[in-house]
This record gives sequence, structure tokens and C-alpha cells, in this order.
Amino acid sequence: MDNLHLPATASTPLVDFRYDAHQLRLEGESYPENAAAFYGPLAEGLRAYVAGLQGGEQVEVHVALSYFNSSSTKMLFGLFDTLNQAAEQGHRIALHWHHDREDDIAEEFGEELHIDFPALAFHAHPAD
Amino acid sequence: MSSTELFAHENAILCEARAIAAQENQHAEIYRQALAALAEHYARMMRESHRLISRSDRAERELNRLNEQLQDLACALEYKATHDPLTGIYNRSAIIDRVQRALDAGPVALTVIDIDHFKRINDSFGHPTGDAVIRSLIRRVQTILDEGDSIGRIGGEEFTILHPRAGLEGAHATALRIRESLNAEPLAELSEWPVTASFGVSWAARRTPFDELYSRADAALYEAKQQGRNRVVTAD
Repeated sequence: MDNLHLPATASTPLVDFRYDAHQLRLEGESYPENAAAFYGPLAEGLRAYVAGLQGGEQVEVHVALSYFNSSSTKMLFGLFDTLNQAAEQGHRIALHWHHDREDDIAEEFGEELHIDFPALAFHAHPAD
Repeated sequence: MSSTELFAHENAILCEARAIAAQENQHAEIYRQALAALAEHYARMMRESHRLISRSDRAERELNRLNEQLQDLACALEYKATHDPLTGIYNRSAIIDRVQRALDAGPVALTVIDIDHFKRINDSFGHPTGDAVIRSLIRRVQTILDEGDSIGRIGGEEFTILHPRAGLEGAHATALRIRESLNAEPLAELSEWPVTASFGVSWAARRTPFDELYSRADAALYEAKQQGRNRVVTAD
């Protein structure tokens, strides 16, 4: 499987999915014109990736989105659900939620992800 | 973006449920499983909707708060941009703008006021006293102005009164009242020194350029100074 790398644009985040290193990183702002089209290939790649997990790998997912709109949120829920299901099957998956220390909305959203996707090892990373 | 794309997953589940519901002779277990799967997805949809709604509610609240803050800042900025910080009256550009707009609407009377020997006050008592004299004089003038009159600081110790409702005589009478008030009762800040002022008054018909109205008042003020100060001169 080839790694997936999409550089950030003004309205879409950096997507850096290193299958070989078991690392996925989303970073930047997310308000694409078509969130389903933007996140579609990533969702597909993620499903294929978790299906191929052998067990024993430590998967690290870093999300550092300073802004994401509602349709992006909908797509993110799909990604986290895929990860959560894989974690329920015994895979070790950590979700690192990076947010601005001042951003209460992002902080609370992270706390809710922790509640909604309990199989993921959740780590909040407030930054200045 | 079409909702079908964003809800592709949900759509697939819906189609599946409908297909099973359309089959009349399936085994009960098939229906039970389909219903359980649908219920599970329904619960997930509810949870996600709830999260989305509460997130957007929070964002909306924050947006409203920031919007209010922006309005307040815009008001404060507007005030600072149009007012003289020392006296709180209109600054030069704001009073000129108001006079110009009044001229667009109708005839206007204008008074230019200049404090007599202000440099001497500053030199003898210091700038803080000079500033206090200006503030005190403006407070006095404000108690005498007619309703609708506006006052602005043109610069230094020079002020302009816009009389949008008064004719030349009315403006002249107001200037006389200010002069008499200053002569009758010294400013509290400098009771040992009688602070007086000179006044130039002019009038112009609708659509007269501001500069014309102003230079006539300014010429009258010059005349008042020439005649020995502490007086009101009306432009011809």
C-alpha cells in the first residue's frame, strides 16, 4: 500500500498517512467545498489499512485541526468510527487530539470524541 | 455538495433496510437482524447529530459574543476617530464633515472661536493649565449652545460651532452670550486671569462649499482680533 500524502491548502488540511509507520496525521483547516469527495479516498484507505492490520502494531492518529466545518465533522466521525471498530477488535489505536489551549469548543469536542469512541486511547494535547 | 455523497453510508443502510422490508416471506431472524442493524445506525445518527448540533450551538454562541465585541469596538473606534480626546467634542475632520453635510441640506451659520492670548496662558501657567482652560471653556460654551448646535475643535485653541437651525442673527446672539458669560464669570480653573475669546460668525446658503463659509468666518475672527479681541464680528 502506498502512503497517502496530500499537502494542505487554504480550505483542506494536510493529510499524511504513513501506512508503513502506522501513523496518520491531519493538520490545518478543513472546510472543503465537497467534504465527502475530499475525505472519501482517506476513508477508503483507512478501511483497507485497518483490514490489513496484523495485530501488535501501535497505530498513532494525530488530529490538529484549527478549524473544521460541519460536513468535515460528519466525515471525521466516519473515520473515527472505522478506527474505533478496529480498536474494539483488539488493535491498539491512539487518537491524539491537538487543539489551541484557548479554544474551548475544540477542547470540548475532543472530550466528546473520547466518550463516543471509547475503544481509542485518547490523548488531548492543548498547545499555546 | 449533494447530501447523497455526504450520507453515502447512511443511504446504503437505508436501501438495505428498504429491500428487506419489501420482502414478504423472509425468515423472522432476517427481519430481526435487519431491524437491529438499522437501530444501531439510527442510534449512531442520533449521537452524531447531537454532537454536531451542540458544537454548532457553541460556535454560534461564540460568534454572537465576538460579534457584540466587534460592534462595541467599532463604536469605540468610531468615537475615537471623530472626537477630540482633550475636550470630548468633535475633532477637526468630524466637525468639517458635519458642516459640509449641513450645507448640503440647507443654509448654515458658523461661528469660529479663538481663545485670546492663549499662548500667554500656556507660557505663564504651563500646558496642563492651558488644557484645563480649554476643557473648562468648552464646558461653559456647551451650556450656552442652542439645541441642534454642534461644536468641534479645529486645532489648538480654535473651535467651530455649527448652527444648522439659526440664521446669522441667531448665531451672532449665541456668540454674544458666550462672550458675556466669559466676561461675567471667570473660568474656575484660572480665576485670577480673565480668559476671553474672539468670535467670527458667517452664514451661507445651501450648497456653498465649506471653505467659503469657513474663510468668511475666519476673516471675521481676524477682524475681531484686530479690533482688540474679546468681541464678536459678523461676516458681511
